[in-house]
Amino acid sequence: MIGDIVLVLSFVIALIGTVRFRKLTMPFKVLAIWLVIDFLLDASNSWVISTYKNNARLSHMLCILEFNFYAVVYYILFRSKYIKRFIVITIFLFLVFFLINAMYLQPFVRVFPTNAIMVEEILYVLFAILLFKQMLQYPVQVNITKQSVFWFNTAILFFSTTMFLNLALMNYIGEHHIRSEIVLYFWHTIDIIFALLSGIAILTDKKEIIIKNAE
Amino acid sequence: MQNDSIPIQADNIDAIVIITGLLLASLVCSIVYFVVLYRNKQLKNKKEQEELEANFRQELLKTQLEVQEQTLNYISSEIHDNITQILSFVKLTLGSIASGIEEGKKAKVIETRELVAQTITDLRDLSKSLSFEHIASQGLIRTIQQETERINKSGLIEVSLEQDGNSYSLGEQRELVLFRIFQETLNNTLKHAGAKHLKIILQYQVDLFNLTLEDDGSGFSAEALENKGGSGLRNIENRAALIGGTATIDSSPGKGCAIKVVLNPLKQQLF
Repeated sequence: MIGDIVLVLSFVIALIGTVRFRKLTMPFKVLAIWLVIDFLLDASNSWVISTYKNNARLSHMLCILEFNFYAVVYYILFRSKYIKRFIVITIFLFLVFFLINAMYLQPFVRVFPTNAIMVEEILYVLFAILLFKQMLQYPVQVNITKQSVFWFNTAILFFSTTMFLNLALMNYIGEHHIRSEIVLYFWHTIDIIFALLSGIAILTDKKEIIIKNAE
Repeated sequence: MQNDSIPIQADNIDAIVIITGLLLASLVCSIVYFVVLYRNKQLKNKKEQEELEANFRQELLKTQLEVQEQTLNYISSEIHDNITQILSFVKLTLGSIASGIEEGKKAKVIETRELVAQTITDLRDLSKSLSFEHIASQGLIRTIQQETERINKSGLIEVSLEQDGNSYSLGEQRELVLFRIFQETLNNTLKHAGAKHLKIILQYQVDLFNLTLEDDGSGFSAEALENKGGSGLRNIENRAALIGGTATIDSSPGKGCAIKVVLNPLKQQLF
């Protein structure tokens, strides 16, 4: 039930992103494209499970695609050429790590890529903190609640920090053979909040704010 | 696997709820803290930007005033040293011509000589009102008085001057700016107001100086001022700000116009 809510929400936000695509700034155009891909991959989850008995393949694909899209969004949002260079390097290094992990550590056909996700989330937290720092360095004379960058960054920070807890809970429950739906609900709640925050980011994004920021 | 699994215990649920709650609370606190920091930065930035703009405007105005003063001084010295000298020579020549010609023509030459003499006097007065040195040496009240007399003599408008309190020096630069404000107002009144009377009030108090200029002309609405741009009136406000004062303009259609410049004489203002 809660999984369906997440899927419907993903669809609505992907739709909003598509409808508002022309009005969006470049980083949020990239985000809108990703939201559509994310929805399609989420929607194909049931089919993948019924075909391959698990969704490990899909999770691996989601992990690498998601990182590349978000890294590109952050690449555009950052002003510092050093941070931009750092992002390019992380994209390359993460790809190498992802391939090693998918081939040897957590085979993509049967194991969920928790290693790659952990690294990915750490990088997201780092990007989010650096972007908040940049926002403080170059404040724009626009109410912060009307700034898409704030909502997007809050979404990423929320998702990546809570994901640690979620993975820790999964490990704990897995190791102790505890039967509980709590992790599933927790996961979906994170997804819902993340989707809502991303939706606000897509809805509040306006080209004028970026122009003001550039001034 | 299903048979080996155990239901989650109450202690575990409590721990999960506490950890999750703490994490979410710290996350929310961090975001709120960031929003507060950001708001403070926005305000600080806005203030700095406004200060920079104000400084820039002041610098620009200062430069404009300096250029204007240089130009006026040049015109003043040209009138005094060149034009009035030539006219004095013309006056002398007319005087010598008058002594050697017949009576009928003599009256006309004398009349012309008197006109030239009047022009010389008027030009000298004008030269004085333009000259920074003259304003600095005579002081604000004396210069305004002379200007008032000059205008009253012309018959264009009736100007009255009132003084309240014992006068004191406001400093050369401030008095010069105040005199230019007076001239700008006088110019506006003559050109646009269609007024018959202009009342000038100078109030000297211990910690307050007040220059009020009131006319009984056609006046104008605030909207008209906005639409026309009102650069002259805005200049008055900017000039007052430059000497650390404030100018208020009060007018409405058919009710004339009152311009009031208030400043604290004890407050030092860099100019």
